[in-house]
Amino acid sequence: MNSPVKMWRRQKEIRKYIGLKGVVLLQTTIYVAPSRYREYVPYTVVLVELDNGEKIYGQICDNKDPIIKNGSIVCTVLRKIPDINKEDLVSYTIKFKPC
Amino acid sequence: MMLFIYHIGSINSSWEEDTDMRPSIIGYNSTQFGELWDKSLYQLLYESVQGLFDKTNRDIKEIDAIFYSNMLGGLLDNNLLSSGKIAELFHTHIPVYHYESACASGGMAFQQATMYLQANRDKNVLVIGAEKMTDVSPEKITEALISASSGEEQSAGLTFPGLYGMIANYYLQKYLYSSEVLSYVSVKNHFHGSLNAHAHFKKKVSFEMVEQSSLVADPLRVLHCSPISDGASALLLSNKKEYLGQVKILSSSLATDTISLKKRTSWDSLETTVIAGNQAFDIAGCDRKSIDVAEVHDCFSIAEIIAMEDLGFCKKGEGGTKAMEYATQLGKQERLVVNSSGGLKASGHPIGATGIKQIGELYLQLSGQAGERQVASAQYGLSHNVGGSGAVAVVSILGI
Amino acid sequence: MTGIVDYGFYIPRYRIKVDEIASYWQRDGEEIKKSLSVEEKAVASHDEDVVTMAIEASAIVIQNLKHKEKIGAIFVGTETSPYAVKPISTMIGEWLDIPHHYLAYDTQFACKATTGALISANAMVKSKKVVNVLVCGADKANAKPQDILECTSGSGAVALLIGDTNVAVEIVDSTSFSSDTPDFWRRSMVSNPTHAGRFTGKPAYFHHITSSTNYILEKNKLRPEDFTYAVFHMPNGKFPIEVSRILGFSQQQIQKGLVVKKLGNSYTACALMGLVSVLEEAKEDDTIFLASYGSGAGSDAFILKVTKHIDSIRKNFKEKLDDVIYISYRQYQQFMGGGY
Repeated sequence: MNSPVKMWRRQKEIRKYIGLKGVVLLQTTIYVAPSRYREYVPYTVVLVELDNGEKIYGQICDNKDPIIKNGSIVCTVLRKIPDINKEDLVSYTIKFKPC
Repeated sequence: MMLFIYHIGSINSSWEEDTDMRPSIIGYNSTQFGELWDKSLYQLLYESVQGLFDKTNRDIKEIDAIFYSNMLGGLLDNNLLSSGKIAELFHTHIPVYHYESACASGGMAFQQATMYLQANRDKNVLVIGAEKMTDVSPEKITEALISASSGEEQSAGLTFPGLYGMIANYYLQKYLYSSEVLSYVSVKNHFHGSLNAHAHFKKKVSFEMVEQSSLVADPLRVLHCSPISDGASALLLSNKKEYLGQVKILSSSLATDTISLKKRTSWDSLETTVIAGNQAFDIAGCDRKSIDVAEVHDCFSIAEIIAMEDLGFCKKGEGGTKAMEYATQLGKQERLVVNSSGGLKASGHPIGATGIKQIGELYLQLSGQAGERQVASAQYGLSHNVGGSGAVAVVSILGI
Repeated sequence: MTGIVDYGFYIPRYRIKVDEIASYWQRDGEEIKKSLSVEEKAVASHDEDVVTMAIEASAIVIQNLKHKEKIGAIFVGTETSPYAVKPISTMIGEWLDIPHHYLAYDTQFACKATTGALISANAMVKSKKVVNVLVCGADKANAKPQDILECTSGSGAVALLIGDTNVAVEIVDSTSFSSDTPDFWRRSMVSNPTHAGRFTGKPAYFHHITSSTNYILEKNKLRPEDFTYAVFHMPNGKFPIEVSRILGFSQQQIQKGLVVKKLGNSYTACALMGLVSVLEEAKEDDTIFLASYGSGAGSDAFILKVTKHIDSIRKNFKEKLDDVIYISYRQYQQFMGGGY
């Protein structure tokens, strides 16, 4: 079971990132993934510097064109992380979409 | 002889004043690296040590302490308290210390063993590194390995190829290299591996083969990444008068940095390598040009390119160019040969054993026992062992 | 005066064409498109659910809101919640950092879960029990594979902020007509809904919408032609056209709100999405008739009037409607495969 307590603590930290813009500093596209994400390869992971100065990691979602590069501008969204166990609490994280 | 050694001693040296008493490497033994289905972790460990005792004609009764390096035993097998397991294996009561710093576990164990010998006169110590990675699926391994990254990196779905892929894209974009530059490193290290009977991969690879292997994490391809291997390596170190060996440990330095890649001050350089490297050279009292042979941490091809710059063997941004020139390949070398063992890429990467194997390779080179891959007249060797995406680095310098 | 003081909406970028679904099952896409009057539908991705969509829609409202503490209630309507037990209304409250002194509950009543909550919300504001209510509807509608429902069941979310100050869309009156009519349902432990075929038509959709509509029009002494716009729940493209004809509304009145053709039926967000489309162009003094339908069954009907404040909260709908990425049926299965 994932830890509902950890998720509850984490929610208060990451909710402040909803609805922000940022610039991509680092990026890679994963083709061989941990089992949780295996179904969804390839996916792009980026490190973004937000307009509030903080740096956070996240996956790119909803992207067709253009290709995400270092320097691309992205916007934050809240998205679901795949369940490991159907009984677990649903886990959410910040991802980025082109904007 | 005393005058000669005094000449290369550094004023900053924290080593013995009587530099003859610097710790030395008495012996080295390694198992085969690869997919060793028949052997368990502790069987491999035992084999590497027993082989070492045979080669050096010693036994456990002469050992004062054991420094053990292993990363995944606890995570994969639910086995901790390895000190007890090792005491059981060798029927001993001596101190056994377990070190973990991901891929730098071996370097850390070695560094600590040398610190122990500085602080304690008249001792023999064993440094053992072992890892068993093929008992579980590659997916399970990938997941276990990612424990050496930050929680946020894990939550984002990053893997180690992913973290180094980010570094590679940054480096390639900054210094205007194409991703092809990575493949030269793999070709070189496989060439060296073909000369190493203990290597996981003894086959050479062509540039095209590397370029055509599938992507793991852009821009890194399968043949840019070190493999999943089993193996164990062991060293016998001593500062006893009667066991003085030819190959001396001139320095061993460890530096740390943030576990999280995002908190580093730069992404085309590992500060831990720079700090540990500078300190190691300082204490050893020799300069970059003195190094004849080096084992550099090539967990991914980009890591070797950047390490060459961070260790001061070439200028910042030039690592790629040097790779393309095969400047550190045996037979083509400009000055120094890098990863004569085959590196992590070809000789394999049983995580806990790698840092020990690196020292062992230098020992073989400096004592003229490297056979087909012998670097002629090798006098000084450097090993570079990194943990995670650069949170720990250990740089050690050996000399004769 | 009470009513809508701000609104937000969310449509996933992804679309699947009816042709694509039909061809996967080796059926005639043209025939299906004609019979349903639907061309394509919006689909939430594998990493989206009603919570993420509701948050996207609500964030639009919250980001402009100076006094979040005035939100005295949060109601969420959905039939595809990831939880049978756990409120997602409080999840919206927490993710958007809304101060905790609010009443929260989730409602389910098929496609009218949200409009039912809207009636309660309006009553709470009118009685001055609370200052603002956030009402949100979101669904990631699914269907049994190969069922005709697959061609219309879509994803979307709408959020409405109800208040009594600077009201942009006045809720002049509302009514609700309810019965036990088993046209469409889903048992608790089952993932896909079941429908009763043609029974979903006359005794269900048409009976309840005509009942609620005629009742409220008569009560307020109004006729269909008195309205600028009319929006009806859209299980497909045919039913709303048919019911508007029966009731005496014109095709011109319902045109702007007829979003099902391109978006499919986002269940509880469906009729409200039609309203969002209308509000993109509605002007001061325009009147809007809205009737939702929820299987099981019931219909909520509203008489709405646009005020001058619409200009400061109007949202661009066409831009989102046109922002599309088309997916294959295989991708659709992956997007819907993880459950709600």
